[in-house]
Amino acid sequence: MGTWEVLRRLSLPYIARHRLRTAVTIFGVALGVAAMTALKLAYEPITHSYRLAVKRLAGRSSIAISNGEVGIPEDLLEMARGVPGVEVASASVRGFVRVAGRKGERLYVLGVDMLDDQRVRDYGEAESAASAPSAGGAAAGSVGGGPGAAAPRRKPLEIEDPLVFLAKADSVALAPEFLRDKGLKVGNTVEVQATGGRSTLRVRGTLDSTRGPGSLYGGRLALMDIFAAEKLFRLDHRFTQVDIVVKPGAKIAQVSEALKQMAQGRGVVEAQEASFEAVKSLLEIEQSNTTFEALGAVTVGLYLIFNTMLIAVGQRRREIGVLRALGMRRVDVVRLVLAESAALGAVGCALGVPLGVGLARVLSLPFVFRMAETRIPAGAAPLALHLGTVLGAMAVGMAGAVIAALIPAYEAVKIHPLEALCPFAQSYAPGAATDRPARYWWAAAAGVLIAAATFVLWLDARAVIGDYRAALTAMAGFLFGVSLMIPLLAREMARVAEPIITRAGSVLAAMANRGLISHMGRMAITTTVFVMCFSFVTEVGAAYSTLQRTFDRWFDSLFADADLVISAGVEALRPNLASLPGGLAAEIAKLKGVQQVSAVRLSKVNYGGHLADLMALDIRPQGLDLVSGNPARIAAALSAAKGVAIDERLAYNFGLRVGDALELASPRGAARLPIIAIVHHSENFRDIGAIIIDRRVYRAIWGDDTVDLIEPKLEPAADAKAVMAAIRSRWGDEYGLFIATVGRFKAQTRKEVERDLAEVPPILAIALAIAVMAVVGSLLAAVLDRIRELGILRAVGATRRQLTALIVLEAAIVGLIGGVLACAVGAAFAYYQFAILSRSLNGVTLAYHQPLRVIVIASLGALLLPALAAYLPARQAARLKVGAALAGE
Amino acid sequence: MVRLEKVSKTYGRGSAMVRALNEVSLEVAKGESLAVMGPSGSGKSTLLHLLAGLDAPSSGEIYLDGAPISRMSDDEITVFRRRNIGFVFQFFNLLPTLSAEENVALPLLLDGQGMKSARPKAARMLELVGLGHRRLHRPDELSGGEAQRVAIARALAFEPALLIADEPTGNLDSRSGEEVLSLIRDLAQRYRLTVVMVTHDRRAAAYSGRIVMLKDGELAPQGASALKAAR
Repeated sequence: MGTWEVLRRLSLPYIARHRLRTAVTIFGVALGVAAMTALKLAYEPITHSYRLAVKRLAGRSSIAISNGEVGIPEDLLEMARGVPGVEVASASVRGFVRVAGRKGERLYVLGVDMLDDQRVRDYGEAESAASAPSAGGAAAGSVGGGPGAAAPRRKPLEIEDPLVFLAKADSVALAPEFLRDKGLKVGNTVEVQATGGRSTLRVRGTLDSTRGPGSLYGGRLALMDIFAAEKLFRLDHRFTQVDIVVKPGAKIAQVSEALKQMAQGRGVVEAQEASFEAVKSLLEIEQSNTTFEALGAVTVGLYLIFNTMLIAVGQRRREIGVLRALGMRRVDVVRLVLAESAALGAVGCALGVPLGVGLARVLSLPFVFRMAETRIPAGAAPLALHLGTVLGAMAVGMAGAVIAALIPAYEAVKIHPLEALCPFAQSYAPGAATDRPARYWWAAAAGVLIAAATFVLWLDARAVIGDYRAALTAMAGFLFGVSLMIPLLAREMARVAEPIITRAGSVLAAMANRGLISHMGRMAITTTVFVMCFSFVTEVGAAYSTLQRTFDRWFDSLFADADLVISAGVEALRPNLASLPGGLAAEIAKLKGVQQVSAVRLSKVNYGGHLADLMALDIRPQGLDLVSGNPARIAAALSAAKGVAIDERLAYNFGLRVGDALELASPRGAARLPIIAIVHHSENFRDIGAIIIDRRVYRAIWGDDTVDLIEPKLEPAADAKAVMAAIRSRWGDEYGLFIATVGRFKAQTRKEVERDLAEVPPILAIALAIAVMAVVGSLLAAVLDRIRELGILRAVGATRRQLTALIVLEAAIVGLIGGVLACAVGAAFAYYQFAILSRSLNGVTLAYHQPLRVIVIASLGALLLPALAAYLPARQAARLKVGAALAGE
Repeated sequence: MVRLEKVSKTYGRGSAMVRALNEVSLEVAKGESLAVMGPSGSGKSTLLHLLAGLDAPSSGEIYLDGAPISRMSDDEITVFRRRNIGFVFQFFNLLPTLSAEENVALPLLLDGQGMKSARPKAARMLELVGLGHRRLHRPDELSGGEAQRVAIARALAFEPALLIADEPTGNLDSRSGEEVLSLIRDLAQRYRLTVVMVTHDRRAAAYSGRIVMLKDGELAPQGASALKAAR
């Protein structure tokens, strides 16, 4: 009999008899495959899209000079053009503006020299609306189409009249979809709020939003002439970026070095690819995190197959014995088991791929949104399902299914033909025969060693582990170590609980608990999976709480002693291209109801070839979030121009300590500033770090009196609304001010920070689904494994309801024990991750916090969810035919 | 005590239909001991399952102490079985996670009694079968004969009216088998139990007051010949 015949005649009827168990197994595999497919689908287009976006913005250029919000002075452009090896140097102004009257609507403005920029970006022939060749050259050309866009369906850029577009400073080209969405057409005006105040722009062209620069930021890109953009952002003869095209034959590294020498700290010279590499690394960290969970999903799917096949072999010992007695070779038995497993895997894969596509949409949306929010012009790239992705997922699912069936196949091979003659063949299931407690002790000992070794690695993660991906591997090692301890811990907890449960007098609870103790092997992997999944809940709770507390710590120090927050431009704490005059703070201080005003200048400074954050503050002790030291003394020293403070991230990245001196490039030459304190890091791990300086010192060295944040403190009796209205009416339009109370602004900003965890809910849902699958799968197997025992209970008078209660109680005990262990594991894991690893790997001290309410919720969930998951297995147990069960059929 | 009226049981449908019992009518008086014998596939186990309410007849009626068990709901028959029918199996069927005492107390515990009140009764039953000293042992610590005696104690925990025994000596050596049969006989006399025992073993059948033969789902003529054959 061939494999297919064996499957058709022997396996299919068996599978048909056990539909529920088969369905759970297939769904488990499908979930694992779906998680893998989703990850591949969710991240690949984003990486691809961003690489494309970088290329579209960079055009032919291979080097970029930028200088954060400070900008690049015009003379630097001319100097760059004179550097040997530079073929073209083209400047641009870029930044966000708010669309007035449209809450939350933003546009990304790209201002380029439309007469010259075609030498950098791939502009085509002029194309006016009337199809007439234009004298404007690039202004009417095909922007950023690239060689791949040689056969456009519609023109990337259509300008009504190129000459008018260039001549008028209010000209802008927008995507037709944006115009349609807002009920606008060419010739209409758009009110925007930029750092230079409110401006009226007239639509004089349209951009194709399906390709070219118009496709970036989801079609929210506005193309303008560079000088119009400068005016819009109130940039005083400064650009945002200069793109460099290197001459043929010149070496990029050499030209870069020459440009660095030329810039002398007035700009950071980087390869265009560098920004892509940074994003790629960011994506990789995100992907590694989720891959971690996806692998868990796949593992559980394979465990379900393992469990199902082991039970299937156990239940069919007689059948296999008969087949062996009739002449079936051992190799044929192996083939039978593996083919069955592969068939289950194949169906799981076939369901998993479309499920993965749906999951990818859920996962990618918040992620794409966040990417766009953090100034990455990724856009919502459509999910593309490639044959390779499908085949890859199928291969993993199928190969995993076959591997998962190896032990069951081995058990099947061991079946002797004589078993055909035995009326009550010993059913084999995980732990069904004899449970060997010694193996739990051995496993736990190995687990302790592995977890301890990983813990030691974490203490100096950067030196030993290196990067985040390696750290994730180490985390996996830690969790693996812990997982090895769980069967023993669970068993011992059940043993401790036994006398209490027995004394309580519930025979069913006692039986359920004893079943767990004596057959822990049957539930060991399930309990482990359950603990791991629920520990994720505790860990996520700690992540949320830690993130919030870290944010609060930073925010409260930045806005200490302030009631209002005022910033120039779209929103406070957003990247701005121009700032407010320092005199405005003094003017606001004179308003009725204002007690005092402090101000902050946020800019970037070139330190060690990287752009570090430079925060110039009106120093006050309560505004310093010190790692250690006396705030009053350090504030006094900073105010007295004795030095600067740096954040722990900068200290970590450059090995800096209190007492070291920082050499910073300034317009007045290199400034040497001693470090007198270290403060906590503010935002994210991708920053290079921050330098905190007194604003008067900053003004003296950098000659910059502008500010980005003005923080008025009001008189106790003052009406905040009235003060805000007064500020808005006097300076609102002139400067395009954002004004809010600190409380409201904190709530808004906090929400945005919390978006960092946007992908967590779907992953959490997968983890909980996995936990449920594992419990359902194991309990179904346990019911089949104990069919005789359940039959006896029915025979001696247990009602169906009592049998249902027994199974539910068993699940609840697994949940109770699992919940306690999950909270402990999750809390320990969160502590290591947020309190130890973040410091040793990133140099950042997070405000670690494990909320008690999450532990309570996780414990209750751990108790209730398995009880609910036990419904189907319990129903199956209750419906068993007693006679058949007693006969061992 | 036990009355079967034209009880039939069929499995399957159409051409695949198997008639396990065919209009069997039988009465067993209170305190009577009946052995049911017959070749494999004759319907012995089916008869036993129907008597115990573990399965329902396709047609006909079964009365226990006048109660029509074939018309009871699942919950009703379960509780009825728990309180009125004791069951002894060939393979003992003790629960491996419970001690001997807990196994004996199981029907009482399932009936809502606490261990505190069930324990003395269970202990007394174990004393009765000569295993008072083994009450805390688990089934895997008992010999086959001991395990079957615990099973008998469990069957009698509720002091039922009817004891059903399915090949009670089928998994025992001859000496243990004799001991178990003697015990059943003694206890039946002591508690005035009605006993229905299915067996292949003629020596076991000889412990019963009456023997009936089943063949192809029908009762063979009863009488002295069957008893004689058994003896």
